[in-house]
Amino acid sequence: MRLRSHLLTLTLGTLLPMVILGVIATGLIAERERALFQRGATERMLALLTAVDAELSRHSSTLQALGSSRSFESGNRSAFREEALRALAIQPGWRAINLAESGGERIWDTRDLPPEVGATPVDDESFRAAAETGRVAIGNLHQEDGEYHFRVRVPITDDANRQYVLTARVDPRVISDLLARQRLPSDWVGVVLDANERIVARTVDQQRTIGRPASESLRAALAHDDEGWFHGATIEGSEVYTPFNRSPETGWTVAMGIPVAAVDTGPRRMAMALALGVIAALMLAGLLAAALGRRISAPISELATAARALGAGEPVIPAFAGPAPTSDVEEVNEVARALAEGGLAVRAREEELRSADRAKDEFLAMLGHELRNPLAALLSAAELLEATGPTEGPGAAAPRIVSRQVRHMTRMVDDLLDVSRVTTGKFELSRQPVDLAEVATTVVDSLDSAGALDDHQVNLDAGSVWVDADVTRLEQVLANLVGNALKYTPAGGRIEISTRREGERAMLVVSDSGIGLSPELLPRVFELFVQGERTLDRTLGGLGIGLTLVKRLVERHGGTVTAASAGEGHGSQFTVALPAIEAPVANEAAAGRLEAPAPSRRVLIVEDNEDARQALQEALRGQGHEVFEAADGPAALASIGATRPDVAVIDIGLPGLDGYEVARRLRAWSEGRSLGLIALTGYGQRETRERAIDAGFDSYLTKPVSPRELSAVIESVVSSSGVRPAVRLHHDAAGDTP
Amino acid sequence: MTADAGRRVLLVEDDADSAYGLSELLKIEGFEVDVAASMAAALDTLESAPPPDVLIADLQLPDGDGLELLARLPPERGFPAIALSGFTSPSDKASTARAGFARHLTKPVRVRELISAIEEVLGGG
Repeated sequence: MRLRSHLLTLTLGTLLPMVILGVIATGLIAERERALFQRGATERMLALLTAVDAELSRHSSTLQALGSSRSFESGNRSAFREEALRALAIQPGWRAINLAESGGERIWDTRDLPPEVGATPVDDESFRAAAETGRVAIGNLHQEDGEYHFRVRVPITDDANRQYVLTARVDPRVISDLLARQRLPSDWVGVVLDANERIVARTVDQQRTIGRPASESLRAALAHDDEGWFHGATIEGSEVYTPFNRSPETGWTVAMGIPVAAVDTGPRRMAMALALGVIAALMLAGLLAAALGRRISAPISELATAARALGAGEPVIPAFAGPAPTSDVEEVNEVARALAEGGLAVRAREEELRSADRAKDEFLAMLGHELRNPLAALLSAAELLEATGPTEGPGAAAPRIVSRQVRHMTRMVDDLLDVSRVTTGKFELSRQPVDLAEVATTVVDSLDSAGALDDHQVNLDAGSVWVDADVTRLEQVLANLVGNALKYTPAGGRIEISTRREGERAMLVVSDSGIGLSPELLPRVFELFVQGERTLDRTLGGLGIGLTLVKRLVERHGGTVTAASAGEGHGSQFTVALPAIEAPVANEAAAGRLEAPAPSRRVLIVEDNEDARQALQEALRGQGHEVFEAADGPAALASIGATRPDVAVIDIGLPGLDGYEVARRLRAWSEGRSLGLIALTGYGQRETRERAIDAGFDSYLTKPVSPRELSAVIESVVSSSGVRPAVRLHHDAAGDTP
Repeated sequence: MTADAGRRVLLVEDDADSAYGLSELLKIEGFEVDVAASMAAALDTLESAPPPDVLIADLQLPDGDGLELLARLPPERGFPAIALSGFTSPSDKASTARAGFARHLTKPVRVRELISAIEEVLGGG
């Protein structure tokens, strides 16, 4: 969930109770307002009712006052009528006055109607009420000659104690005027009904509605109760709330139709305002959450980028390194500062590490150098002992042991320097197309000739595959892998070395039946200074850098090296894969020579220096040749017949009979004509070369010569001589001596 | 034994043990060997004695180094020089070559290697 969403949730969580409270409060307020309105409207209606009662009461009081006049009490009827006429004149709402006996006979009427004896008054109910109860009675609305009126009747008694009913016909306009004076809102409908629930006066449409029955809903309400508040419709059908009340004195009813809208508008507006407010608040909350979220999270995202940069070793964004805050949130700034400090600390530590690493490299270089001086002294002393010391007895082997161990130490010092150089990448590859099979053969042969393979069954399956590589470094890779296999395989164990092409890759596999690798060691086997816990022979122990060297060297060649083992005691297998290239075609002779191991030749070495002779012999045997030796010219000439060599390699500086002379004498013989002759010397001058060719040599080499170079020259000399097939001649001991 | 017999070698080496072993071995091989333990001693020897056939110098000397020694000698000195050093890096080898050494051998050196280097630089003997 993003920060924005959290903020939104927080805001909504805070807002929700407010909204609920708002809705409840609005509901309560609306209800209260409605109640207030209802009360106000009801009071207004009651005021109108009181006014109507008062108006009717005023009319009856006036009539009563007239009825208590002297003339009536004394029985002077005509004078009383005169008085009534005067009263009629000052009562604008009155249409007529009449006097009747309580039995119903009219005595007089201000309209000069003839006395009707025994005639029943039109409105007999109110007449009866007045005559029988002796109280004021208000008659219902009545239509006569197209005009509406109602009667106000009062019972009166004369001095003779005779009962009469004095009646005034009142124009309903006195009520409608009264209604008009109430100044009800224009959309309200005020109505006054008589006891028959017919309309006496109405604020709206008085002319057309007078005398009509009240609206159905009002009549239904009146049937139920004398007073109340209901929701109904006017006679026109408008929806209204109506407070109503029936006067207990007159039986007349006052009601007010108030449009529903007028009552409900307030609460509805409040509800609407509340809804709008809530929506606005929600939107505002959303916007604020988004804006604030972005404001907080943008610097955090930048910090995340910076932290990732820190992890990747890239420089941390400098914006955070400055003292100026980048965020409004202090905590974020704190993180930014901490990150910047962390970045500086990491950089400082990196610098420390680099300088420590540099110091280590320098130390290793210096150590290598400083170790060489004592080693040099040791080696010279050992060699001196070898040359001059006892050749027999218990101490005879000691100088050789010292010298061998010094050389072993020297190799370790070399490895130490190499690993320092190789791990820091401070070395150049001098690459050239080379057959991996040839490199493997060279390394295995030289190990074999040094006797290193004597205790193991070593098998080389050298399939030709070309790579673009530094030969010296490839030899180092092979020597390390094979050396490792030897080191960790008990005597008698098998070691298989193979080279072959697999698609675009040149594969070199060295596997052994040795002590294998534990699953814990396997993934770390290429790390520097990691070694198996036990070696079979501590004297063969190294520094644990061989495989690191191998890995770095192979990687520099664009290849990979992997280790596999079925576990401890089950041997191990190292596989090097290098990018393969096509065999070069430009130099076919060389390619042909190098692709297949050179054919085995019979080689005679003529060299007076025993060491040099020994070294040459080992090297050539390593190349698969059959080697014979002679220490000087006469010995060489004497052995030719018996050995029948393909090639003789002759040192020029022989004592007595020198190399030139030996060559001349060999060429003089028939057996010596097709013999390949190679001069070997330390003298590199042109003059010497010419003398050698003149003497009959086919080729000429300057010491020191590498075994490979010598082998190549031997092959070219034999091939170009064209006479001798590459077939081994059998010894034919007798008779061949010249 | 070889054509080297009677050749004169000036070995400049401050480490007495190393100087002893190498000089004795060279003597066995028939060389005449002078040993100088410092640059100053080497210069003295070169002034007082007839010039050697070859100069073999350690690079680190108490009063200077082999490169400086060679710089002190005239370019037409008439004898080749071989550097003998514990330094093995290509750049070290390049600097000895620039200074005028014909060979750069890495300590420890077997006497056979040293002699073949001498023979090479003497170009015949």
